[in-house]
Amino acid sequence: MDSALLLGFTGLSVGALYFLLASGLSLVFGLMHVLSFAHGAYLSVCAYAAWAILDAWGTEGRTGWELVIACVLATVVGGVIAFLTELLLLRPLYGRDSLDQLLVTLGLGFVIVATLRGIWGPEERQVSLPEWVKETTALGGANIPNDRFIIIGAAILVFVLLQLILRKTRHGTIVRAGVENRDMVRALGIDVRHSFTLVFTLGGMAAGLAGALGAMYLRAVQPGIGDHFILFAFIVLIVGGLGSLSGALVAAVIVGLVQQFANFYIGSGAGDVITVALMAVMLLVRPQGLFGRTERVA
Amino acid sequence: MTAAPVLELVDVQASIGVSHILQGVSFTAPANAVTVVLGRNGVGKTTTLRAILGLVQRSGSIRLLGEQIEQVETSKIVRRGVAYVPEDRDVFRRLSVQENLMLAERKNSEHRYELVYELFGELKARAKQAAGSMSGGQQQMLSLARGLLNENALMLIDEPTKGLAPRVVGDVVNVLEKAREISTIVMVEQNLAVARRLADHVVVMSEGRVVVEGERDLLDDDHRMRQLLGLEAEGKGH
Amino acid sequence: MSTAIDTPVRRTRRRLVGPIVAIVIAALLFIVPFLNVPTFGILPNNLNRPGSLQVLAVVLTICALAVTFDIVFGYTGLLSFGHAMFFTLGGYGFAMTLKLTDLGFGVAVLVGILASIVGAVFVNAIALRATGVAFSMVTLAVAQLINIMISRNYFGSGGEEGLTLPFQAMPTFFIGIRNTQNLYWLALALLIIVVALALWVTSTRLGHSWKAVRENELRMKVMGVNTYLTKLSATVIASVLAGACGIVYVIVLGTAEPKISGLLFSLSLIVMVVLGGRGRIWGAVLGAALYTLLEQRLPTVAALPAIADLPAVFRIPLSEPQLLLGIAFIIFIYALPGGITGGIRSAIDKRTARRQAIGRPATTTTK
Repeated sequence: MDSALLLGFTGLSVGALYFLLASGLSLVFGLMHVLSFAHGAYLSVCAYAAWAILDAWGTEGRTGWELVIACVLATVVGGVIAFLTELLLLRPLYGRDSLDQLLVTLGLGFVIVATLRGIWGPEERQVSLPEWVKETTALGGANIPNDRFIIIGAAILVFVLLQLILRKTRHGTIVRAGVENRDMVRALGIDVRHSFTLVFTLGGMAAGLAGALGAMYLRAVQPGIGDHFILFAFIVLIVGGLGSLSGALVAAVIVGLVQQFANFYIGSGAGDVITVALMAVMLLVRPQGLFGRTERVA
Repeated sequence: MTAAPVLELVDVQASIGVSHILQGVSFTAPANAVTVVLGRNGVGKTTTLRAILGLVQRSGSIRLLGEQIEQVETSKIVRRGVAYVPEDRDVFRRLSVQENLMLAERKNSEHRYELVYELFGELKARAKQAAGSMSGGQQQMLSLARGLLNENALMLIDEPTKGLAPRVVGDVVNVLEKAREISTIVMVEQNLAVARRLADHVVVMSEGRVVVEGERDLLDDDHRMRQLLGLEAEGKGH
Repeated sequence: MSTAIDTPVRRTRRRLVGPIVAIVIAALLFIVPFLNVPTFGILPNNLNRPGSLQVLAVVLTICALAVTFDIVFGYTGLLSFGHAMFFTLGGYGFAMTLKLTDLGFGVAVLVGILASIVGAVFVNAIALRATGVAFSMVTLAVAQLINIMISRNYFGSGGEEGLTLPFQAMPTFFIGIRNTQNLYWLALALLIIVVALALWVTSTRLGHSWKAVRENELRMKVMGVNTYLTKLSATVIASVLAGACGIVYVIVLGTAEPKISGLLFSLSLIVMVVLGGRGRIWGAVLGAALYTLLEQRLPTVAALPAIADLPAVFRIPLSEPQLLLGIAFIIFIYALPGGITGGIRSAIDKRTARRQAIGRPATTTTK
């Protein structure tokens, strides 16, 4: 029972990380019809940013606030690079096929990861964390590492914030409408491109936070850290639905739990295999995902 | 007194993908009048409206209030004072009625909520309801309400009575009769009876072109209408 | 192109230029192992030394793989994120049979081919049920499945260390440093065969139907063509050929490495083909040659003392080929969507048009 509880929390934590990455991808695809390969790279960059902050902080004076600062910085960095990407690289391509935009995000992913590897080398760098994060809390007979609580809490916070933006602000309402019917939004006199920037940047910020938290979870960063998460973010995206935030949340929980439980009880890699197969099945049977909202997938 | 026409199309071509749908559409929409666009299914009536708005690839000359707009982006055209009430309503189904209206608000215009709620009483009551959960007729009302919310020089309306029950058709026509008093309208309509009630100016299309342009009395020529529109002209005179 | 000065002789000359150039290049490539010439750092040592031949053999094999990918992506317009999985199936099918059984070399090759055929038909038949982005994601999913299984050593596939081929099971002419030239010729033979096949099949009606699907699938469907079968034929043919490339690759390297099943490798095929020119066989070869050569050699060049002392802003791009290639890729998407060969093509066309304008009387019209 206690291993099940531990697995549950671990599953929810990885699910939380997948959700953070997938939330951006979901809105970006739902509104802009572009599959972004760049957000995985943003995660990597921000993981390094978080690592650098924590490394520079040193080992004394650890209160926990340095974690918050690392997360905030990572979020900001993610937002800034996403903003610049959309403005400088994607905007000029809006008249063109969305394939070209996808390819550009692909290229950017290559460039960013190669740059990280060039600067810091391919080796893993240990992330310096305060002791209490690495310790565990007893809960229901199991010892749950404290980082799980932080990660899950952060994801819930982000979900709530994003939902507030989507539902309570005019910009958010435009995004929700645009996911349903982009042309009609334009036909109401609204320039959708502003929403593109908003959505891409929010995705970058979420990816940035995922980078910081992912670094915390894995206790180490290496240039390929984004690739580690992006595959499962894609799975969550497809299963949960393109353009649906709550779909991404539900799917993230499912994927995270299935992955961890299957990996433990069935065998190493089984969880990965099952979740990937789940994505393939969903694509063939219901391409818009469980809660898909966007008008088209193909 | 004749004011300058609100809309002038000259040899407008439009394509969707590789289908060359509009082969040279030319007509004029006079100010403060209702121009009805008629034609059989598939001749390009909806595409004409979408071409005016820039929602499809287009070429040719399109003048709105004296200015060329064939190179202008859709949201800019709309902001110059154009309302679009599309075929099949196209309300945002998952947004509430209130949110649908809120999105329609344009910055450079008054928002005529009193007028809208006066014409469409139901919408006020259903403000928080998801637009997609309403009936077809109610969605049509919402779509029209969005179009009437701002002060517009031109309303482009696409088959507003399509698929609606006869009683609802009557309600829609009443609304349109009020609308014509405050805006120039270009309306695509298959229902000849509705057209007869509202039209001032008439444009008939066939195979991507305008074949006849004339005034309201054109619609009374049953024989001609049957020729131009096929059998749809019959039996719609109720 | 109709010009006042076009003659049958000129037309025949134009048609022969391509094949003649191709034969000359093939001949030159053939004699490489006999040319003891310096390579100025482009290759590890002189052209015909084993180190250089090994690198060239890898380059040629990847070029062949890129050609097969171009059939799927460049010609038929299908963005597959998992094309390298067929390369992997062929290579690993071969390697696992050779290592885990004693059925011998010939059978191992056969198993590799069989694995790629079965994989090609099965995977593509399913994946093509989805369209657009969904199709791409299915290919990604299946490729990742294979990647996961290999990295976890399912069915004895070797895990992170890969599978080294047992040299006693290999034919002697492929073993040993002295026989590196045979590996080189094997790779060259593969490339020539794949290119010839690709050129031939894309010139047939089937090949033209692939291009038609890319340009306007809806119109094809309306005309009654079963576009699913069209796309299936392209992907299956390309995937089986990719499997053959995989077998050669594993032979050339002497091991099956798990990185060929990774996402990065499949994505790099996209980069190669875009750099060289989508929908052009020579484009795929050129892009792959450039990419693979840079990837193989640039890090070694960057480790040279002269370079290693440069300031970071120069050193890093040189030590990370993917950085330069990624930037070039992005620039090409904006400025040169037809790739290098596309750029050459339009330069030639412009020059021909200028020549025609000079040579023609004022009243003639073109086309």
